[in-house]
Amino acid sequence: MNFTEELILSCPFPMVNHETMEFRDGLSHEVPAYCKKNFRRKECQEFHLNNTCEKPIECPYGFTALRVQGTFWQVFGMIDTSTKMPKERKNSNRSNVTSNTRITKWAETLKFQTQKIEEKSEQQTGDALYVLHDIRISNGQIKTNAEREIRNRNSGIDFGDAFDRAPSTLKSIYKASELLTGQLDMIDFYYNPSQITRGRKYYTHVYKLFDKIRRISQIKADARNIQLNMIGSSTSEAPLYESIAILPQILIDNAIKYSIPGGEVIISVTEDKRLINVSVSSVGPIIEEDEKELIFSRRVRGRYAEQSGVTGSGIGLWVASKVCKYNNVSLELKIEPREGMVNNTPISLNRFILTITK
Amino acid sequence: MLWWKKPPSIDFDTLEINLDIKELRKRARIIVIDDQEAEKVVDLKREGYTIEQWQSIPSLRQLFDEDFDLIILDIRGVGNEFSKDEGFGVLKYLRESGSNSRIIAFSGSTFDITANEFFSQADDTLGKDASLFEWMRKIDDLLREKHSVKNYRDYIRNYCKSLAISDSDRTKLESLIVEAIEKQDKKASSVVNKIASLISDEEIQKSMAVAAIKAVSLGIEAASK
Repeated sequence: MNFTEELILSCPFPMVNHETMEFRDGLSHEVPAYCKKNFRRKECQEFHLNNTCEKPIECPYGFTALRVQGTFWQVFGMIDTSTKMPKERKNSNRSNVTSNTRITKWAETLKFQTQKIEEKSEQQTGDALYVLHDIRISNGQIKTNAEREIRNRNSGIDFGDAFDRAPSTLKSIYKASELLTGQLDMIDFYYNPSQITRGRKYYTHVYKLFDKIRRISQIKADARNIQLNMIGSSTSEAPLYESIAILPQILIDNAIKYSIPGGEVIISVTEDKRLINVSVSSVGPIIEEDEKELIFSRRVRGRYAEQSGVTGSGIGLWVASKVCKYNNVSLELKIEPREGMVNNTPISLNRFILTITK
Repeated sequence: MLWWKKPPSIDFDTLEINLDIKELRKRARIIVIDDQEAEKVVDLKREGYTIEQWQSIPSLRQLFDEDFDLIILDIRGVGNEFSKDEGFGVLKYLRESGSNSRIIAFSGSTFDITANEFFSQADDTLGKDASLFEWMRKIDDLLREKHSVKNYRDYIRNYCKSLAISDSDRTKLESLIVEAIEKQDKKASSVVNKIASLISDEEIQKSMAVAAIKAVSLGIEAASK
Protein backbone atom coordinates (compact mmCIF):
# COMPACT_ATOMS: atom_id res chain seq x y z
CA MET A 1 0.00 0.00 0.00
CA ASN A 2 1.47 3.34 -1.01
CA PHE A 3 0.55 6.40 0.92
CA THR A 4 0.87 9.85 -0.49
CA GLU A 5 3.02 12.46 1.19
CA GLU A 6 -0.13 14.23 2.26
CA LEU A 7 -1.39 11.27 4.19
CA ILE A 8 1.89 10.58 5.94
CA LEU A 9 2.42 14.19 6.94
CA SER A 10 -1.11 14.59 8.14
CA CYS A 11 -0.95 11.52 10.39
CA PRO A 12 -1.44 12.76 13.95
CA PHE A 13 0.13 9.61 15.37
CA PRO A 14 3.55 8.11 14.96
CA MET A 15 3.80 5.56 12.12
CA VAL A 16 6.39 2.82 12.53
CA ASN A 17 8.03 0.34 10.17
CA HIS A 18 6.16 -2.93 10.34
CA GLU A 19 9.19 -5.15 10.82
CA THR A 20 11.84 -3.01 12.52
CA MET A 21 9.39 -0.99 14.61
CA GLU A 22 11.49 2.11 13.84
CA PHE A 23 9.76 5.43 13.60
CA ARG A 24 8.75 6.04 9.98
CA ASP A 25 6.67 9.16 9.73
CA GLY A 26 3.74 11.07 11.08
CA LEU A 27 4.07 12.94 14.36
CA SER A 28 6.58 11.68 16.86
CA HIS A 29 5.35 12.10 20.41
CA GLU A 30 7.52 12.92 23.35
CA VAL A 31 7.28 10.58 26.29
CA PRO A 32 5.41 12.63 28.88
CA ALA A 33 7.61 13.78 31.77
CA TYR A 34 5.11 12.19 34.13
CA CYS A 35 5.76 8.77 32.58
CA LYS A 36 9.51 9.37 32.41
CA LYS A 37 9.56 10.06 36.08
CA ASN A 38 7.14 7.39 37.26
CA PHE A 39 7.79 4.55 34.82
CA ARG A 40 11.53 4.55 34.21
CA ARG A 41 11.55 0.90 33.19
CA LYS A 42 9.35 1.83 30.20
CA GLU A 43 6.62 -0.62 31.20
CA CYS A 44 4.31 1.47 29.05
CA GLN A 45 6.35 0.87 25.89
CA GLU A 46 6.58 -2.81 26.66
CA PHE A 47 2.84 -2.95 27.16
CA HIS A 48 2.32 -1.16 23.87
CA LEU A 49 4.55 -3.44 21.82
CA ASN A 50 3.28 -6.66 23.30
CA ASN A 51 -0.35 -5.81 23.02
CA THR A 52 -1.81 -7.28 19.83
CA CYS A 53 -5.35 -6.08 20.40
CA GLU A 54 -6.34 -3.67 17.65
CA LYS A 55 -9.15 -2.12 19.62
CA PRO A 56 -8.28 0.85 21.84
CA ILE A 57 -7.57 -0.35 25.36
CA GLU A 58 -6.72 1.41 28.56
CA CYS A 59 -3.12 1.08 29.63
CA PRO A 60 -2.52 0.27 33.32
CA TYR A 61 -1.57 3.86 34.01
CA GLY A 62 -4.77 5.52 32.86
CA PHE A 63 -3.97 6.24 29.20
CA THR A 64 -6.01 4.73 26.39
CA ALA A 65 -3.69 3.07 23.91
CA LEU A 66 -4.56 2.22 20.33
CA ARG A 67 -2.72 0.22 17.74
CA VAL A 68 -3.89 -0.01 14.13
CA GLN A 69 -2.25 -2.66 12.01
CA GLY A 70 -1.99 -2.10 8.24
CA THR A 71 -0.29 -4.29 5.64
CA PHE A 72 3.03 -2.46 5.84
CA TRP A 73 2.47 -0.04 8.65
CA GLN A 74 1.24 0.31 12.18
CA VAL A 75 -0.10 3.35 13.90
CA PHE A 76 0.32 3.75 17.63
CA GLY A 77 -1.74 6.27 19.47
CA MET A 78 -2.28 7.34 23.00
CA ILE A 79 -5.37 9.19 24.08
CA ASP A 80 -5.64 10.48 27.59
CA THR A 81 -9.23 9.96 28.63
CA SER A 82 -8.74 10.29 32.31
CA THR A 83 -10.76 13.19 33.70
CA LYS A 84 -9.38 13.06 37.19
CA MET A 85 -5.78 13.52 36.11
CA PRO A 86 -3.10 14.82 38.41
CA LYS A 87 -2.05 18.34 37.37
CA GLU A 88 1.56 17.27 36.97
CA ARG A 89 0.59 14.53 34.50
CA LYS A 90 -1.72 16.82 32.59
CA ASN A 91 0.96 19.48 32.15
CA SER A 92 3.66 17.07 31.11
CA ASN A 93 1.50 15.65 28.32
CA ARG A 94 0.42 19.01 26.93
CA SER A 95 3.03 19.06 24.11
CA ASN A 96 1.58 15.83 22.69
CA VAL A 97 -2.00 16.99 22.42
CA THR A 98 -3.45 16.39 18.96
CA SER A 99 -6.53 18.26 17.96
CA ASN A 100 -9.75 16.49 17.03
CA THR A 101 -9.76 18.44 13.75
CA ARG A 102 -6.40 16.99 12.86
CA ILE A 103 -7.49 13.43 13.71
CA THR A 104 -10.68 13.83 11.68
CA LYS A 105 -8.78 15.26 8.70
CA TRP A 106 -6.33 12.38 8.83
CA ALA A 107 -9.12 9.82 9.11
CA GLU A 108 -10.86 11.36 6.10
CA THR A 109 -7.64 11.40 4.07
CA LEU A 110 -7.04 7.79 5.04
CA LYS A 111 -10.55 6.81 4.03
CA PHE A 112 -10.23 8.64 0.71
CA GLN A 113 -6.84 7.09 -0.03
CA THR A 114 -8.07 3.59 0.85
CA GLN A 115 -11.11 4.03 -1.37
CA LYS A 116 -8.90 5.19 -4.26
CA ILE A 117 -6.57 2.22 -3.78
CA GLU A 118 -9.51 -0.20 -3.64
CA GLU A 119 -11.04 1.27 -6.79
CA LYS A 120 -7.73 1.05 -8.63
CA SER A 121 -7.15 -2.50 -7.47
CA GLU A 122 -10.69 -3.49 -8.50
CA GLN A 123 -10.18 -1.95 -11.94
CA GLN A 124 -6.84 -3.73 -12.37
CA THR A 125 -8.40 -7.05 -11.32
CA GLY A 126 -11.28 -6.43 -13.74
CA ASP A 127 -8.86 -5.72 -16.60
CA ALA A 128 -6.85 -8.83 -15.79
CA LEU A 129 -10.00 -10.95 -15.66
CA TYR A 130 -11.14 -9.74 -19.06
CA VAL A 131 -7.85 -11.00 -20.45
CA LEU A 132 -8.99 -14.42 -19.21
CA HIS A 133 -11.81 -14.31 -21.75
CA ASP A 134 -9.23 -14.03 -24.56
CA ILE A 135 -7.05 -16.71 -22.97
CA ARG A 136 -10.05 -19.07 -22.94
CA ILE A 137 -10.66 -18.39 -26.62
CA SER A 138 -7.00 -19.04 -27.51
CA ASN A 139 -7.05 -22.18 -25.38
CA GLY A 140 -10.21 -23.25 -27.18
CA GLN A 141 -8.43 -22.86 -30.53
CA ILE A 142 -5.51 -25.01 -29.36
CA LYS A 143 -7.95 -27.70 -28.22
CA THR A 144 -10.02 -27.49 -31.41
CA ASN A 145 -6.89 -27.86 -33.58
CA ALA A 146 -5.76 -30.88 -31.56
CA GLU A 147 -9.25 -32.42 -31.82
CA ARG A 148 -9.38 -31.84 -35.59
CA GLU A 149 -5.99 -33.44 -36.03
CA ILE A 150 -7.18 -36.41 -33.95
CA ARG A 151 -10.32 -36.65 -36.09
CA ASN A 152 -8.39 -36.30 -39.40
CA ARG A 153 -6.22 -39.26 -38.50
CA ASN A 154 -9.19 -41.55 -37.79
CA SER A 155 -12.42 -40.75 -39.55
CA GLY A 156 -15.46 -43.01 -39.69
CA ILE A 157 -15.29 -44.07 -36.03
CA ASP A 158 -16.55 -42.49 -32.80
CA PHE A 159 -14.56 -39.47 -31.69
CA GLY A 160 -13.79 -41.26 -28.40
CA ASP A 161 -12.20 -44.16 -30.29
CA ALA A 162 -10.35 -41.75 -32.56
CA PHE A 163 -8.96 -40.06 -29.46
CA ASP A 164 -7.77 -43.38 -28.00
CA ARG A 165 -5.95 -44.20 -31.23
CA ALA A 166 -4.26 -40.77 -31.56
CA PRO A 167 -0.49 -40.47 -31.08
CA SER A 168 0.62 -39.56 -27.56
CA THR A 169 2.18 -36.23 -28.63
CA LEU A 170 -1.17 -35.09 -29.97
CA LYS A 171 -2.98 -36.29 -26.89
CA SER A 172 -0.51 -34.45 -24.65
CA ILE A 173 -1.32 -31.14 -26.44
CA TYR A 174 -4.99 -31.80 -25.81
CA LYS A 175 -4.33 -32.71 -22.17
CA ALA A 176 -2.25 -29.57 -21.60
CA SER A 177 -5.16 -27.53 -22.93
CA GLU A 178 -7.52 -29.37 -20.56
CA LEU A 179 -5.21 -28.55 -17.64
CA LEU A 180 -5.29 -24.89 -18.65
CA THR A 181 -9.10 -25.00 -18.75
CA GLY A 182 -9.02 -26.32 -15.19
CA GLN A 183 -6.68 -23.56 -14.07
CA LEU A 184 -8.90 -20.91 -15.68
CA ASP A 185 -11.92 -22.47 -13.97
CA MET A 186 -10.08 -22.19 -10.67
CA ILE A 187 -9.63 -18.44 -11.21
CA ASP A 188 -13.35 -18.18 -12.05
CA PHE A 189 -14.30 -20.00 -8.86
CA TYR A 190 -11.92 -17.82 -6.84
CA TYR A 191 -13.38 -14.54 -8.07
CA ASN A 192 -16.92 -15.78 -8.61
CA PRO A 193 -17.67 -18.74 -6.29
CA SER A 194 -21.28 -18.95 -7.46
CA GLN A 195 -19.89 -20.47 -10.68
CA ILE A 196 -19.19 -23.61 -8.67
CA THR A 197 -22.87 -24.53 -9.00
CA ARG A 198 -23.22 -23.48 -12.64
CA GLY A 199 -24.92 -25.87 -15.01
CA ARG A 200 -26.59 -29.06 -13.85
CA LYS A 201 -25.50 -31.98 -11.75
CA TYR A 202 -24.23 -34.98 -13.69
CA TYR A 203 -23.77 -38.52 -12.52
CA THR A 204 -19.98 -38.52 -12.30
CA HIS A 205 -17.80 -41.62 -12.26
CA VAL A 206 -15.44 -40.54 -9.47
CA TYR A 207 -12.74 -43.17 -10.09
CA LYS A 208 -12.59 -42.32 -13.81
CA LEU A 209 -12.44 -38.59 -13.03
CA PHE A 210 -9.43 -38.98 -10.72
CA ASP A 211 -7.79 -41.40 -13.13
CA LYS A 212 -8.24 -38.94 -16.01
CA ILE A 213 -6.56 -36.13 -14.04
CA ARG A 214 -3.84 -38.53 -12.90
CA ARG A 215 -3.03 -39.28 -16.54
CA ILE A 216 -3.10 -35.59 -17.48
CA SER A 217 -0.82 -34.78 -14.51
CA GLN A 218 1.69 -37.53 -15.31
CA ILE A 219 3.83 -35.09 -17.28
CA LYS A 220 4.23 -32.88 -14.18
CA ALA A 221 5.04 -35.88 -11.96
CA ASP A 222 7.65 -37.11 -14.44
CA ALA A 223 9.31 -33.70 -14.46
CA ARG A 224 9.80 -33.98 -10.67
CA ASN A 225 10.58 -37.69 -10.69
CA ILE A 226 7.49 -38.39 -8.58
CA GLN A 227 5.58 -41.65 -8.85
CA LEU A 228 1.88 -41.08 -9.37
CA ASN A 229 -0.09 -44.19 -8.43
CA MET A 230 -3.76 -45.01 -8.30
CA ILE A 231 -5.12 -47.76 -6.02
CA GLY A 232 -8.53 -49.13 -5.05
CA SER A 233 -11.57 -49.58 -7.21
CA SER A 234 -14.97 -48.01 -7.57
CA THR A 235 -17.58 -48.22 -10.28
CA SER A 236 -20.16 -45.90 -8.76
CA GLU A 237 -21.33 -42.52 -9.92
CA ALA A 238 -22.43 -39.59 -7.79
CA PRO A 239 -24.58 -36.58 -8.73
CA LEU A 240 -22.10 -33.70 -8.81
CA TYR A 241 -21.68 -30.32 -10.48
CA GLU A 242 -19.05 -30.20 -13.20
CA SER A 243 -16.97 -27.95 -10.91
CA ILE A 244 -15.99 -31.18 -9.12
CA ALA A 245 -13.49 -31.75 -11.95
CA ILE A 246 -11.25 -29.07 -10.43
CA LEU A 247 -10.90 -31.05 -7.19
CA PRO A 248 -8.57 -33.84 -8.40
CA GLN A 249 -6.62 -31.23 -10.31
CA ILE A 250 -5.98 -29.11 -7.19
CA LEU A 251 -5.25 -32.04 -4.86
CA ILE A 252 -3.02 -33.98 -7.27
CA ASP A 253 -1.22 -30.83 -8.40
CA ASN A 254 -0.51 -29.85 -4.76
CA ALA A 255 0.64 -33.36 -3.86
CA ILE A 256 3.10 -33.40 -6.79
CA LYS A 257 4.29 -29.87 -6.05
CA TYR A 258 5.01 -30.42 -2.35
CA SER A 259 6.11 -34.07 -2.49
CA ILE A 260 9.69 -34.80 -1.44
CA PRO A 261 12.01 -35.39 -4.44
CA GLY A 262 11.61 -38.93 -5.77
CA GLY A 263 8.49 -39.38 -3.62
CA GLU A 264 5.17 -41.02 -4.33
CA VAL A 265 1.67 -39.61 -4.67
CA ILE A 266 -1.03 -42.19 -3.95
CA ILE A 267 -4.58 -41.66 -5.11
CA SER A 268 -7.00 -44.10 -3.55
CA VAL A 269 -10.64 -44.49 -4.56
CA THR A 270 -12.81 -47.03 -2.74
CA GLU A 271 -16.51 -47.34 -2.01
CA ASP A 272 -19.07 -48.90 0.26
CA LYS A 273 -22.86 -49.08 -0.12
CA ARG A 274 -23.45 -45.40 0.45
CA LEU A 275 -20.15 -43.56 0.05
CA ILE A 276 -17.23 -43.12 -2.30
CA ASN A 277 -14.00 -42.49 -0.38
CA VAL A 278 -11.08 -40.78 -2.06
CA SER A 279 -7.69 -39.89 -0.63
CA VAL A 280 -4.70 -38.12 -2.17
CA SER A 281 -1.58 -38.57 -0.08
CA SER A 282 2.08 -37.66 -0.30
CA VAL A 283 5.02 -36.94 2.00
CA GLY A 284 5.86 -33.25 2.06
CA PRO A 285 6.38 -30.27 4.39
CA ILE A 286 4.62 -30.89 7.69
CA ILE A 287 1.25 -29.25 8.22
CA GLU A 288 0.99 -28.51 11.91
CA GLU A 289 -2.08 -29.32 13.97
CA ASP A 290 -3.05 -25.64 14.37
CA GLU A 291 -2.93 -25.17 10.58
CA LYS A 292 -5.22 -28.07 9.66
CA GLU A 293 -8.26 -25.83 9.28
CA LEU A 294 -6.40 -22.64 8.42
CA ILE A 295 -4.82 -23.91 5.19
CA PHE A 296 -8.32 -24.07 3.65
CA SER A 297 -8.67 -20.31 4.12
CA ARG A 298 -8.25 -17.81 1.31
CA ARG A 299 -4.60 -16.96 0.60
CA VAL A 300 -3.24 -18.93 3.55
CA ARG A 301 -0.34 -21.37 3.19
CA GLY A 302 1.19 -23.66 5.78
CA ARG A 303 4.29 -22.16 7.40
CA TYR A 304 6.50 -25.09 6.33
CA ALA A 305 5.03 -25.07 2.81
CA GLU A 306 6.08 -21.43 2.66
CA GLN A 307 9.50 -22.22 4.12
CA SER A 308 10.06 -25.08 1.66
CA GLY A 309 10.54 -22.57 -1.15
CA VAL A 310 7.73 -24.07 -3.29
CA THR A 311 5.75 -21.25 -4.84
CA GLY A 312 2.04 -21.11 -4.16
CA SER A 313 -0.77 -18.64 -3.82
CA GLY A 314 -2.96 -20.09 -1.08
CA ILE A 315 -5.86 -20.20 -3.53
CA GLY A 316 -6.10 -23.89 -4.47
CA LEU A 317 -7.20 -25.39 -1.17
CA TRP A 318 -9.63 -22.54 -0.54
CA VAL A 319 -11.27 -23.21 -3.92
CA ALA A 320 -11.20 -26.97 -3.20
CA SER A 321 -12.99 -26.43 0.11
CA LYS A 322 -15.67 -24.30 -1.59
CA VAL A 323 -16.16 -26.83 -4.39
CA CYS A 324 -16.60 -29.55 -1.74
CA LYS A 325 -19.03 -27.43 0.24
CA TYR A 326 -21.32 -26.73 -2.74
CA ASN A 327 -21.19 -30.36 -3.86
CA ASN A 328 -21.91 -31.74 -0.35
CA VAL A 329 -18.57 -33.50 -0.30
CA SER A 330 -16.65 -33.71 2.97
CA LEU A 331 -12.96 -32.77 2.84
CA GLU A 332 -10.58 -33.45 5.70
CA LEU A 333 -6.86 -33.57 6.22
CA LYS A 334 -4.96 -36.23 8.16
CA ILE A 335 -1.32 -35.77 9.08
CA GLU A 336 1.22 -38.39 10.15
CA PRO A 337 4.60 -36.83 11.08
CA ARG A 338 7.60 -38.60 9.57
CA GLU A 339 11.23 -38.83 10.67
CA GLY A 340 13.82 -36.62 9.01
CA MET A 341 13.93 -33.31 7.25
CA VAL A 342 13.98 -32.26 3.61
CA ASN A 343 15.63 -28.92 2.82
CA ASN A 344 15.62 -28.13 6.56
CA THR A 345 11.88 -28.66 6.64
CA PRO A 346 10.21 -31.28 8.88
CA ILE A 347 7.98 -33.65 6.90
CA SER A 348 4.74 -35.59 7.30
CA LEU A 349 2.44 -37.85 5.32
CA ASN A 350 -0.37 -35.51 4.34
CA ARG A 351 -3.64 -37.17 3.33
CA PHE A 352 -6.53 -35.19 1.89
CA ILE A 353 -9.65 -37.31 2.30
CA LEU A 354 -12.90 -36.81 0.38
CA THR A 355 -16.17 -38.51 1.25
CA ILE A 356 -18.79 -38.39 -1.49
CA THR A 357 -22.39 -39.57 -1.09
CA LYS A 358 -23.55 -41.73 -4.01
CA MET B 1 -76.01 -49.99 -15.67
CA LEU B 2 -72.62 -48.92 -14.40
CA TRP B 3 -70.47 -46.92 -16.79
CA TRP B 4 -66.88 -46.15 -16.25
CA LYS B 5 -64.29 -44.54 -18.38
CA LYS B 6 -61.65 -46.81 -19.82
CA PRO B 7 -58.32 -45.87 -18.22
CA PRO B 8 -55.71 -44.58 -20.71
CA SER B 9 -53.60 -47.44 -22.01
CA ILE B 10 -50.57 -45.19 -22.47
CA ASP B 11 -48.49 -43.94 -19.58
CA PHE B 12 -46.53 -40.81 -20.53
CA ASP B 13 -43.88 -41.42 -17.90
CA THR B 14 -42.92 -44.79 -19.32
CA LEU B 15 -43.43 -43.92 -22.97
CA GLU B 16 -39.81 -43.45 -23.94
CA ILE B 17 -38.71 -43.36 -27.50
CA ASN B 18 -35.10 -44.48 -26.88
CA LEU B 19 -33.88 -43.15 -30.19
CA ASP B 20 -30.42 -44.11 -31.26
CA ILE B 21 -28.19 -41.16 -30.37
CA LYS B 22 -26.86 -40.87 -33.94
CA GLU B 23 -30.42 -40.62 -35.22
CA LEU B 24 -31.26 -38.04 -32.56
CA ARG B 25 -28.20 -35.92 -33.43
CA LYS B 26 -29.34 -35.91 -37.04
CA ARG B 27 -32.99 -35.24 -36.33
CA ALA B 28 -32.71 -32.49 -33.69
CA ARG B 29 -32.13 -28.88 -34.73
CA ILE B 30 -29.43 -26.94 -32.91
CA ILE B 31 -28.50 -23.28 -33.29
CA VAL B 32 -25.36 -21.57 -31.96
CA ILE B 33 -25.82 -17.82 -31.48
CA ASP B 34 -22.44 -16.13 -31.26
CA ASP B 35 -21.13 -12.98 -32.95
CA GLN B 36 -17.73 -14.67 -33.36
CA GLU B 37 -17.27 -17.68 -35.58
CA ALA B 38 -18.07 -20.72 -33.44
CA GLU B 39 -15.47 -23.23 -34.59
CA LYS B 40 -17.17 -26.17 -32.90
CA VAL B 41 -20.09 -25.94 -35.36
CA VAL B 42 -17.88 -27.43 -38.11
CA ASP B 43 -16.67 -30.21 -35.82
CA LEU B 44 -20.15 -31.05 -34.56
CA LYS B 45 -21.50 -31.24 -38.13
CA ARG B 46 -18.73 -33.72 -38.80
CA GLU B 47 -19.90 -35.76 -35.81
CA GLY B 48 -23.38 -35.95 -37.33
CA TYR B 49 -25.27 -33.10 -35.64
CA THR B 50 -27.75 -30.88 -37.47
CA ILE B 51 -26.32 -27.58 -36.29
CA GLU B 52 -26.04 -24.09 -37.67
CA GLN B 53 -24.85 -20.70 -36.47
CA TRP B 54 -26.39 -17.25 -36.38
CA GLN B 55 -23.96 -14.40 -35.80
CA SER B 56 -26.92 -12.13 -35.15
CA ILE B 57 -30.60 -12.73 -34.40
CA PRO B 58 -32.98 -11.68 -37.24
CA SER B 59 -35.85 -11.25 -34.78
CA LEU B 60 -36.73 -12.66 -31.39
CA ARG B 61 -40.06 -13.92 -32.72
CA GLN B 62 -38.27 -15.82 -35.48
CA LEU B 63 -35.95 -17.40 -32.93
CA PHE B 64 -39.01 -18.46 -30.92
CA ASP B 65 -40.97 -19.69 -33.97
CA GLU B 66 -38.09 -21.74 -35.33
CA ASP B 67 -38.59 -23.91 -32.22
CA PHE B 68 -35.00 -25.16 -32.16
CA ASP B 69 -34.47 -28.18 -29.95
CA LEU B 70 -31.37 -26.57 -28.53
CA ILE B 71 -30.07 -23.00 -28.50
CA ILE B 72 -26.42 -22.43 -27.58
CA LEU B 73 -26.38 -18.77 -26.66
CA ASP B 74 -23.47 -16.39 -26.04
CA ILE B 75 -23.98 -13.54 -23.58
CA ARG B 76 -21.86 -10.81 -25.19
CA GLY B 77 -22.24 -9.28 -28.64
CA VAL B 78 -25.60 -10.89 -29.48
CA GLY B 79 -29.13 -9.57 -29.12
CA ASN B 80 -27.94 -6.03 -28.31
CA GLU B 81 -30.43 -4.65 -30.82
CA PHE B 82 -33.26 -6.10 -28.69
CA SER B 83 -31.96 -5.75 -25.15
CA LYS B 84 -29.23 -3.93 -23.24
CA ASP B 85 -28.68 -7.26 -21.47
CA GLU B 86 -27.57 -8.76 -24.82
CA GLY B 87 -27.66 -12.59 -24.67
CA PHE B 88 -29.24 -12.54 -21.23
CA GLY B 89 -32.07 -10.39 -22.64
CA VAL B 90 -32.62 -13.02 -25.36
CA LEU B 91 -32.69 -15.81 -22.79
CA LYS B 92 -35.18 -13.88 -20.64
CA TYR B 93 -37.42 -13.33 -23.69
CA LEU B 94 -37.40 -17.04 -24.54
CA ARG B 95 -38.18 -18.05 -20.97
CA GLU B 96 -40.94 -15.48 -20.57
CA SER B 97 -42.58 -16.34 -23.88
CA GLY B 98 -42.69 -20.03 -22.96
CA SER B 99 -40.17 -21.40 -25.44
CA ASN B 100 -39.71 -25.17 -25.22
CA SER B 101 -36.14 -24.97 -26.57
CA ARG B 102 -33.33 -26.11 -24.29
CA ILE B 103 -30.76 -23.36 -23.76
CA ILE B 104 -27.04 -23.64 -23.07
CA ALA B 105 -25.30 -20.48 -21.80
CA PHE B 106 -22.11 -20.27 -23.82
CA SER B 107 -19.54 -17.80 -22.54
CA GLY B 108 -15.92 -17.08 -21.79
CA SER B 109 -16.92 -14.61 -19.06
CA THR B 110 -17.61 -17.11 -16.32
CA PHE B 111 -15.59 -14.98 -13.88
CA ASP B 112 -18.05 -12.11 -14.32
CA ILE B 113 -20.50 -11.92 -11.41
CA THR B 114 -22.87 -9.76 -13.47
CA ALA B 115 -23.44 -12.78 -15.75
CA ASN B 116 -24.46 -15.13 -12.93
CA GLU B 117 -28.18 -14.83 -13.58
CA PHE B 118 -27.61 -15.67 -17.24
CA PHE B 119 -25.87 -18.88 -16.25
CA SER B 120 -28.42 -19.78 -13.59
CA GLN B 121 -31.42 -19.41 -15.93
CA ALA B 122 -29.93 -21.58 -18.66
CA ASP B 123 -30.37 -25.36 -18.72
CA ASP B 124 -26.61 -25.86 -18.80
CA THR B 125 -23.38 -23.97 -19.53
CA LEU B 126 -20.41 -24.34 -21.86
CA GLY B 127 -17.12 -22.45 -21.68
CA LYS B 128 -15.42 -21.07 -24.78
CA ASP B 129 -12.61 -23.59 -24.35
CA ALA B 130 -14.82 -26.61 -23.66
CA SER B 131 -13.68 -29.82 -25.32
CA LEU B 132 -15.61 -31.59 -28.07
CA PHE B 133 -16.31 -34.38 -25.55
CA GLU B 134 -17.93 -31.86 -23.23
CA TRP B 135 -19.99 -30.29 -26.04
CA MET B 136 -21.24 -33.68 -27.21
CA ARG B 137 -22.02 -34.91 -23.70
CA LYS B 138 -24.07 -31.84 -22.81
CA ILE B 139 -25.84 -31.58 -26.15
CA ASP B 140 -26.76 -35.30 -26.15
CA ASP B 141 -28.03 -35.07 -22.60
CA LEU B 142 -30.33 -32.13 -23.37
CA LEU B 143 -31.51 -33.59 -26.67
CA ARG B 144 -32.52 -36.84 -24.98
CA GLU B 145 -34.40 -34.85 -22.36
CA LYS B 146 -36.09 -32.65 -24.96
CA HIS B 147 -36.95 -35.48 -27.32
CA SER B 148 -39.33 -37.30 -25.00
CA VAL B 149 -43.11 -37.56 -24.88
CA LYS B 150 -42.94 -36.63 -21.21
CA ASN B 151 -41.17 -33.35 -22.01
CA TYR B 152 -43.99 -32.23 -24.33
CA ARG B 153 -46.63 -33.42 -21.85
CA ASP B 154 -44.91 -31.38 -19.09
CA TYR B 155 -44.61 -28.40 -21.41
CA ILE B 156 -48.36 -28.45 -22.16
CA ARG B 157 -49.14 -29.04 -18.47
CA ASN B 158 -47.01 -26.05 -17.35
CA TYR B 159 -48.46 -23.84 -20.07
CA CYS B 160 -51.99 -24.75 -18.95
CA LYS B 161 -51.07 -23.87 -15.38
CA SER B 162 -49.63 -20.46 -16.38
CA LEU B 163 -52.80 -19.74 -18.40
CA ALA B 164 -55.04 -20.76 -15.47
CA ILE B 165 -56.74 -23.49 -17.54
CA SER B 166 -58.79 -25.74 -15.26
CA ASP B 167 -57.49 -29.13 -14.18
CA SER B 168 -60.42 -30.89 -15.88
CA ASP B 169 -59.66 -29.22 -19.23
CA ARG B 170 -55.99 -30.05 -18.87
CA THR B 171 -56.80 -33.68 -18.07
CA LYS B 172 -59.12 -33.78 -21.09
CA LEU B 173 -56.31 -32.41 -23.27
CA GLU B 174 -53.93 -35.12 -22.05
CA SER B 175 -56.56 -37.82 -22.66
CA LEU B 176 -56.99 -36.55 -26.21
CA ILE B 177 -53.23 -36.80 -26.75
CA VAL B 178 -53.33 -40.43 -25.55
CA GLU B 179 -56.26 -41.13 -27.89
CA ALA B 180 -54.44 -39.58 -30.83
CA ILE B 181 -51.41 -41.77 -30.11
CA GLU B 182 -53.60 -44.87 -29.93
CA LYS B 183 -55.41 -43.94 -33.16
CA GLN B 184 -52.05 -43.04 -34.74
CA ASP B 185 -53.51 -39.65 -35.69
CA LYS B 186 -50.29 -37.76 -36.46
CA LYS B 187 -52.16 -34.52 -37.09
CA ALA B 188 -53.68 -34.75 -33.62
CA SER B 189 -56.79 -32.92 -34.92
CA SER B 190 -58.92 -33.46 -31.81
CA VAL B 191 -56.11 -32.11 -29.59
CA VAL B 192 -55.56 -29.08 -31.83
CA ASN B 193 -59.32 -28.33 -31.84
CA LYS B 194 -59.49 -28.59 -28.06
CA ILE B 195 -56.51 -26.20 -27.74
CA ALA B 196 -58.28 -23.74 -30.06
CA SER B 197 -61.38 -23.90 -27.89
CA LEU B 198 -59.41 -23.23 -24.72
CA ILE B 199 -56.98 -20.52 -25.84
CA SER B 200 -57.78 -17.36 -27.76
CA ASP B 201 -54.23 -16.02 -28.28
CA GLU B 202 -53.12 -17.30 -31.70
CA GLU B 203 -49.39 -17.38 -30.90
CA ILE B 204 -49.96 -19.41 -27.73
CA GLN B 205 -52.41 -21.68 -29.60
CA LYS B 206 -49.70 -22.32 -32.19
CA SER B 207 -46.99 -23.13 -29.61
CA MET B 208 -49.29 -25.52 -27.74
CA ALA B 209 -50.47 -27.18 -30.95
CA VAL B 210 -46.86 -27.71 -32.12
CA ALA B 211 -46.01 -29.28 -28.74
CA ALA B 212 -49.10 -31.51 -28.85
CA ILE B 213 -48.37 -32.70 -32.40
CA LYS B 214 -44.77 -33.46 -31.41
CA ALA B 215 -45.97 -35.36 -28.33
CA VAL B 216 -48.37 -37.41 -30.45
CA SER B 217 -45.82 -38.05 -33.17
CA LEU B 218 -43.15 -39.16 -30.65
CA GLY B 219 -45.78 -41.21 -28.79
CA ILE B 220 -46.77 -43.07 -31.99
CA GLU B 221 -43.10 -43.77 -32.70
CA ALA B 222 -42.47 -44.98 -29.16
CA ALA B 223 -45.62 -47.13 -29.03
CA SER B 224 -44.73 -48.84 -32.30
CA LYS B 225 -41.30 -49.95 -30.98
